[in-house]
Amino acid sequence: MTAVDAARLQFALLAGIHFLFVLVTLGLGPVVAIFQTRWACTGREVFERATRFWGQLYLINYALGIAAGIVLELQLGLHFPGLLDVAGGVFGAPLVIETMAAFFLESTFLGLWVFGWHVLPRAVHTAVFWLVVLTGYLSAFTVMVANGFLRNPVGFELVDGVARITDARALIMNPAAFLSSMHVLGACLVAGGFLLVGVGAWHLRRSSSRLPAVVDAGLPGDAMSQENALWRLSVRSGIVTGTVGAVLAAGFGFAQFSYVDAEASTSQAPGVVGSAYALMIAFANVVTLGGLVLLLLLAGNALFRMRRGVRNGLYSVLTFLLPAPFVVGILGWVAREVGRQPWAIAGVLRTEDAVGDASLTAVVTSLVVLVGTMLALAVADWTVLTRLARRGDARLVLGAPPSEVLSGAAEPEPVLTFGGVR
Amino acid sequence: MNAIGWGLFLTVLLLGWVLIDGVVQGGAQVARPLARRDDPRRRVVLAAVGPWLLLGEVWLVAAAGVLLAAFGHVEAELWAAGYPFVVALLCAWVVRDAALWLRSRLSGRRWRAGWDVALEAASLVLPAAFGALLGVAWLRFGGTDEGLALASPGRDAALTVLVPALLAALCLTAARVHGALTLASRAPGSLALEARRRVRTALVPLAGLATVAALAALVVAARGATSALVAAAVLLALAGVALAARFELDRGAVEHPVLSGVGYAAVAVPVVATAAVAGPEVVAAAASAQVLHDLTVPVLAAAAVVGVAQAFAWLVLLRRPLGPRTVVFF
Repeated sequence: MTAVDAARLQFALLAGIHFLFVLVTLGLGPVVAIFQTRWACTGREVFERATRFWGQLYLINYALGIAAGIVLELQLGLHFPGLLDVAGGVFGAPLVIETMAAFFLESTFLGLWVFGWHVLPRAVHTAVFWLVVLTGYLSAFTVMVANGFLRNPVGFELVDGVARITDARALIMNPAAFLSSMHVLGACLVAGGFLLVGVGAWHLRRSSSRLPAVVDAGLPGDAMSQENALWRLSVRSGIVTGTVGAVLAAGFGFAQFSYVDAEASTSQAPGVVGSAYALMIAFANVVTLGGLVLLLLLAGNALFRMRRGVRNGLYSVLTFLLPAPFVVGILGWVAREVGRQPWAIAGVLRTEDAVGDASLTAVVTSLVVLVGTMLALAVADWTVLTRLARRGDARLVLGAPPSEVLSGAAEPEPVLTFGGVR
Repeated sequence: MNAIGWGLFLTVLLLGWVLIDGVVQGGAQVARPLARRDDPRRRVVLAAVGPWLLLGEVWLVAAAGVLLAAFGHVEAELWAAGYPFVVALLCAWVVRDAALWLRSRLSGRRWRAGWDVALEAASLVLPAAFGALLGVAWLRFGGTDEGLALASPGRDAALTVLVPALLAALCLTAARVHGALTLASRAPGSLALEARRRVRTALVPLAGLATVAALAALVVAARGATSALVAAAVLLALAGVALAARFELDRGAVEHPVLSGVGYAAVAVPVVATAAVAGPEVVAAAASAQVLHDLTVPVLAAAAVVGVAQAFAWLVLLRRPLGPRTVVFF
């Protein structure tokens, strides 16, 4: 292995880890925002629970998403200084906008959302989360503008081997940025949909569908238990989100072939890129079809009223499929990045010329340290996500009053009365 | 905006990071001695510094973005010279974040204890690695064209180790003072008292480190970076303020301008000093005027919006003491 390979492997692994979190952030964000909006408008408890349960999962996922993104941001300067020497003036622009405008605002608003829960008026609090979602999408788009420039460099000129922007509009409207952003957005919604459906179905399989008190009294009717209302809402929202996402991902996925030369890309590594393409297309078709069937089954709540055996079987399958969109999402990036090789910037700069002169030992050491740390943290994060998803809406910390969170104290010390004693 | 403007902008972003994120770093450094083994007390400490996390760390991300776009060559050189420190900074950063977000999610005793250790270790390494990188910047961009190749190689070899180590220790102690002082003003009762005690013990080392750093700045000035004289001056001033604060604490003062200011001064001075030492050479190595010009409008517009959002968040979250409506999430 050369230092070039090690640097590329390190970037690929870190980008892959980062993207797994991005899928959930972008896929779940709008759904949580809609839950909260409905809560703000109707005041119904099920929407409050949905906002707090899914908001908490969103946050735990976001935490590592930020961390992985930070590590990724410094990869370019650390290992690919040639990219900055040649195209820093072009490539750096969307990235600095990303950090300055999008990510900076996103994090500020998210801080306001979490820690302003009991302080801000409900309408403002809801608006703040919509701003989190909006700036999150802006952030993703600017990253795609930077990545799109690598794939399909437009709107620039080379002067003495250094690129500079001549047409900012072309850079932003680059099909490699715009079409691919929409494709990625679709993929994220699919992932968010699978998560909502998978977790919701897991709980539906276990929670009784009728109020225990009604059952105990031997009464007929299907008054729903509160948990059941939450998990049905989750599954319904997930089916809608996932189907919309699959249609977007497939439509804009094919539209990308307007600028991607599929044959040239595939020829780079036929086994990898070719099978990735085939798998993505098959997955999009299956999800679209399956999504449509499930949408039809939502009519009259048929999905939740099927015979117990059939219903539980379906729930199990839906939960089992939860990781699928994540695997396919990673394959999408593998196809895109491998397909561009041997170029870092298509037709302008070769990857091997973009790599810095750090020694193989240094790159491998940092690979082990950074990827090892990120993987360990990611596994810890997914463990927590799984445990919290299984715990359901009991003991939610997000949006709970502080006295409730701290009630684990053996005996209430004065310090816990919060601001009482000075 | 010209190169000097971009240099000042970068300095402001770095200052934003040390001032806001420094609270989280310092608070986490003293969380264990303050909370001892009492979990609710620890959660009060973390709740007191928690809102700073999301508001603060983006400043360094933004600074890295500006460094990448406007000072790409500086970034490449700094990363090459300070490679291990960059890796350490990144690791400490992600571990710190994960520890804060994940520790209180599950209730297992070993789970929480493990993350507490990780949080404290990462909160020590994070400001130290940042300080070490500032030290690398002093050496790379403070006088002499060849960086270190100077008449007396022995002295410079010592400098390459000493300056980063010195600034690492200075930044670490500064964050401790800043975080503990914030806890002292926000946390209730006995926690505030203990936090003030931690501040007291850290102030003399802070003054000592600042003085030695001022001497190092004089050495760098002798290598040809005249602007390092400014750094020496602000570092000496910091030493004076730290001693004055210690004096006030020993007198039993609780509210005093020196006491409320020393934390801010402590974390800000290393950045200001570095701007003074390395500023001229960093500005000279900025991207082309065309690139800087193209970026000015979008970046300043973004900065204005961010400024409004952050100011709003500060007003809502940071200006109120802990109370029944404080969110306990971490």
